[in-house]
Amino acid sequence: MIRQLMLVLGLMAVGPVLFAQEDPEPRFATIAVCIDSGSESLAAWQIELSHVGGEAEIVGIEGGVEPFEGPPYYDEAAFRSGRVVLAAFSTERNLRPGVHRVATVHAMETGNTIEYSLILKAAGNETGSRVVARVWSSRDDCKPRGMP
Amino acid sequence: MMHTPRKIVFTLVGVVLAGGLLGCLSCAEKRYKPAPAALSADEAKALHALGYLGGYVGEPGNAEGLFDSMARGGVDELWVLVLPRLSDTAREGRPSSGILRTLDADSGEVLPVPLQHADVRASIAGSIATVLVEQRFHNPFDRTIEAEYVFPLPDDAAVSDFVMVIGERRIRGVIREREEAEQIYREALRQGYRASLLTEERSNVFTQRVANIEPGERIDVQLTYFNRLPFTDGAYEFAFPMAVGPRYNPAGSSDGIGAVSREQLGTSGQSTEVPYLRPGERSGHDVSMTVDLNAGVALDAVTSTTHAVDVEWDGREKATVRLTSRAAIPDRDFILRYEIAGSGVASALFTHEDETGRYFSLELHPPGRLEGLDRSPRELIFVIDTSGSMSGVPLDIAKRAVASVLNRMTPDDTFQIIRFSNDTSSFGRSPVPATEQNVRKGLTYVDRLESGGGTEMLRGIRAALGFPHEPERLRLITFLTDGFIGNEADILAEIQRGLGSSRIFSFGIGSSPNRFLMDRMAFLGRGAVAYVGEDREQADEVVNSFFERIAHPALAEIEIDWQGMEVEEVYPARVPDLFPGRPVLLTGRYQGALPSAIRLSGRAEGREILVDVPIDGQSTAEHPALRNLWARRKISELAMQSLLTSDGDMIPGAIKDVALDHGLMSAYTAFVAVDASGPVAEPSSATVPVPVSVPHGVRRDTTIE
Amino acid sequence: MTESPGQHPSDLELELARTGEADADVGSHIGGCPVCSASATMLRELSEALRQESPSVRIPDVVEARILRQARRAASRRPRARRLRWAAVAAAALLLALTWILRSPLRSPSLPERAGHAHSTDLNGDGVTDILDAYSLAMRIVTGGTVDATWDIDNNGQIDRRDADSLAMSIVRSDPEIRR
Repeated sequence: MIRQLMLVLGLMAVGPVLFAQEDPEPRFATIAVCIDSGSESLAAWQIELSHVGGEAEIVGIEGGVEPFEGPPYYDEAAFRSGRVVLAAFSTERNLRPGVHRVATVHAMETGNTIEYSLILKAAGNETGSRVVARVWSSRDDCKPRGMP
Repeated sequence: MMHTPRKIVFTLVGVVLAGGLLGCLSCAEKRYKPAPAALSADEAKALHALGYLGGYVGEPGNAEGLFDSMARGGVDELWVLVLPRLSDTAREGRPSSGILRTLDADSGEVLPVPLQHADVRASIAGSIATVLVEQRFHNPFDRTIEAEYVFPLPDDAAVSDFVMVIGERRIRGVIREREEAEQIYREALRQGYRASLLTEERSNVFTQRVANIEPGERIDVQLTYFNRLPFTDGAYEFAFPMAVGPRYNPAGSSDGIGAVSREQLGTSGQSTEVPYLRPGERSGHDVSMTVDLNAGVALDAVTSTTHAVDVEWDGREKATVRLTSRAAIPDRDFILRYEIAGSGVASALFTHEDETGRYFSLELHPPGRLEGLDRSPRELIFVIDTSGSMSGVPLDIAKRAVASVLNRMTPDDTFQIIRFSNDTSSFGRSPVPATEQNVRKGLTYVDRLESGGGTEMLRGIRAALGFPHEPERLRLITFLTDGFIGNEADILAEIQRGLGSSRIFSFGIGSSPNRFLMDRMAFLGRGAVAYVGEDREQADEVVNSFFERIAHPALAEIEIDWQGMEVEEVYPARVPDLFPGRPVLLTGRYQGALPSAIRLSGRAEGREILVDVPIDGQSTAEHPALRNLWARRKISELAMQSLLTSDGDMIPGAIKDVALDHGLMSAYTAFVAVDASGPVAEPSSATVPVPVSVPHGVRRDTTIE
Repeated sequence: MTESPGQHPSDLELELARTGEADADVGSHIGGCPVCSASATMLRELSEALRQESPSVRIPDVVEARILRQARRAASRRPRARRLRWAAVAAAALLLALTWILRSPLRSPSLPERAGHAHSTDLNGDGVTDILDAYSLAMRIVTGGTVDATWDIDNNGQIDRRDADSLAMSIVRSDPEIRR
C-alpha cells in the first residue's frame, strides 16, 4: 500500500516538472519607446506597437521623460488583438530636439526572446507641423542611435 | 477487485489536495472550493486560523457520523493531508504579533495599517459624476508586505481608469479578463515586482491588492469611475459609500462576504472577507472629499445629510463642496443632495457620438396629473429585518417608519406585519383591515419587536410573497432592512420567481445600507427604493414623502414610441413603472436623427395615459461618459439575467466582451498594473489586510463572529 | 511486493507503532520481521519528507488527538488493512492529465473590426485624423487662438483641455488612416 502511495506522490512531484517545460516561468521587462526627431522639436507623437516571438502581455503603461512624463493615451481594447496604439502631446514651450524617451511599456513575457516592433504614425513639432522622425524600442534607456 | 467507493473518494480528496499543492496553480486556484475534510467545525476553524485549507461538513457532530460510517463500511484508512492554504494570491503567510514590527517605535493608540488615507474628488456635470478615488498605501512595518483592502463603491459605477503611483512615476494599469489579471498579479507578487490588482466581488464591493511595498514606502492607487446620479424627491443625489456592513451568510455558502474580527482572518469560510477593527481601536485611515458641482441650471440648495460640509458658491449654477473636517472616519455613506430651482424638472435627453456609434440617455419624469387619480384598495405587507445588525438605532428607525405608515392608513386598506431574523413570524394569520383597533394592535406588535440573530432574508421574502392574495387589492410589500447579507443573488431570484402582481418597496436603513441589494429589489419588484439613514427626523421626512408617493398610482406598462428614432440595445429592457418624484433612466444606442418629441403610453389605475416628451436643442446635452454609462448598464442587465435564468452559460462571456471592449471593471474583468522596472530587494513576507470600522450605528457585538 | 495478509500488522498499525501508540506485540513483531521493519522505515522516511516539504506548523492538540482516536478506533475494528489500489494511481494520472489540459491559456475571441466612421475631426486640415489634430486643438486652447464651435467635442458649452483629451482618446481608438 505504502509503495503505491509513494508512486502516486512521486508522479505528482514529477508531473509538474514535465509539464513545466511547456509553460516556462514568465518574466517582467520594461520597454522604452524612443523617438529621435532630429533637429526638430517633438511636441506630439503617435505609434503602433506590436511584438513577435513568444508571448507578451502589457501589464502597465508609463510615461517617459519630460515633457512626456505622464502616461500616454492608449486603446485598451486593442491589447486583445496584439497591437496597441500609443500617443501623447505636450503643450509646453521651448521643447528640445533629438532623442526622447516618450513612454515606457511594462510587459510580462513568456517563451523565447521577444522582439518589439514600433511603427511611427505621426510626429509633430511645436508649430504642429508633421516632421520626420525615427522610432525604436529599447530594454534599457533611449540612447542616441549609433552611439554606444 | 474494486474497493469501497468511500475509500476511493477519500484518497481522491487527498490526491486532489496534494495535486493542488504541487503543481496545479493556474487552474485550481481560481474558483477553487476546498474539498470537505472530515473534521468537525471547531477543528476546521482551528486549522483555518493557522492558515490551512478546510471546509467542514456542516454542523459539528457530522464528522463523528462520518467516521463511524467509514468504519462500518470497511474504510479504515484516512489520510489527512494538511496543506498550505490556496487563495487567489500566493499568500506566503499571515502576519502575527511576532513577524512584523513597526518602523516607528511609538505609534501610540493608532493601529498601524497599510492604508494611510483615501481622497475622493468628484466632478459633477448636470447629473453625471466623474469621480477620482485615490488610496494611499504605505508600509509601516519592517518587512516588505502585500496590502489588501476590501472597500465599497456605488453599485452603478463604471470604473474605467486605474493608475499606480510610485513617487513621481505614474503607471497606468490595463483591463484584462479576471483570471489573466490575477495570474499576472500573482507572478509579479511572487517575483518581487510592485504591482496592484483591482477585482470586483459584488457590483458594490471591490478588493484592492498592492504587492511588494517595501518598509517605509508609499504606493498610491488612483481609480476613476463615472456614474449617473438619481433624482429623488426633488433633488439629485450624489452618494459615496465608505463602509461595507458586516454581512450574514447562510450556512453552507462559501461565496458570500465574511465579516470577521481583524485577528480572526480566514475563519468565516467565505471567499471574500472584511476584517473589522476591535472595539475602541483606531486605524488612522481617514478620508477627504471634494465635489465640484456644475449643475448646468440654477440651484436652490446644496446640502449633505450625513457630514458637515463647506459649500463655496460660484454663481447660481456652480459650487464646490468639501468635508469640513479633513479627517473623516470612513464609517458611513457620504450623501450630497442638490435641488434644482424652479417648479418642475422636464424629461431630458443626453447624447454622445464617437467612432463606435451614437449613444443616448433619457431621463423620463412622470406626468404631474398622476397625483389626481383615485387609487384602488391596498394590501400593505411590512417586512421588518430584526437581525443582529439592526440592533439599536436601525430597528428603532424601522419601527418608526412602520408606525408612521400605519397611522396614515384607512380602513379600506389591509395590512400585515412580518418580522424575520433566523426565522420569521407575523402579526396575524392574514392581512387585516386598517381599522383603529387593528392599527393599535399592529403598533403594539411592532413596538415590542426585538433584534438578534442571523438574517435569513429568503424566508422573509417567501413569507411576504407566499400567502394568498386578494385579487382586487394591490399588494405592496414594504421591506425594511440594512441589506447586510452575502447571498443577494438568492433574494433577487426569489423576487423574480414569486412576485406575481405584487410590488416591492425597499427602505434602506442605517448609515451604510447595501444599496446594490436595495436598488435591485425595488427594480425587480416593480417598485421604488428610499434610504432613511440613521437620523430619526430625517427618516420621518423620507418616510412621509415616500408614503405620499405610494398613495398615488404609478404609470405602469409603459411603452415608448420613439417617433422615428432608430434605437437599439435600450436598457433597462422593460421600462420600469413611473412613480411621482422618481424619474426613470433609459440608455441605449441609436442611429439617424433625433425626433422632435417622444411619446409614452401607459396605464394608471386602469386608465390609459399618453405623455409627450418634447426634445429640442435646449434639453439635449452631450457627455463623453455616456458610452461608459451605457456599457455599464448593459453589464448590469446581463448580470441580472444570469442571476435569474438557469441557462445563463453564455452570459459571463457576453459580460466579459462588453467590459473589455469598453475598458470597464466587471465581475469577469479586472485591472492590473505592474512596475516591471525592477524587483524589490526582498519580496513580500506577509499579506496585511486593512481592517475597517463597523458602520456607524451598527453594533459590533451582534454582528461580527 | 508480496505480503501474506493476516500475518503482518497493517500499515496503520505500523504508523501507530512509530508514534508509540500501538500494542506492544506490534513493536516486537517489527523487530523480528524484515518486511515490516522495511515498511516501518519507509513510513518514517515518508513522514519526515512530508514534514520537510510542507511548512512546519503545529496541529492543535485537540485535532491531533481526535484524528488518532478515530484512527485507532477504526484500526481496532479491522485488524487487516486493505491496500491502496492502482485505481488511485490511475486517478492521479487522470488528474494530472486534466491539469495539463486546463492550463492551456484560453484565448479570448479576437476583436471584431470596427467600422470606419467618417468624422470631421481633421482639425489641422492635412487630410488625416491623428494625434496632431488633438495637439493643434490643445495649442489653440492654450494660446487662446481661434476655435470653431464644432470643436466642442464634449459639447459642454466650453472648448477646453477636456475636448483635446476626448479627441486624443477617440484617435487612439480608431483604426489608423481615417480620411475626411
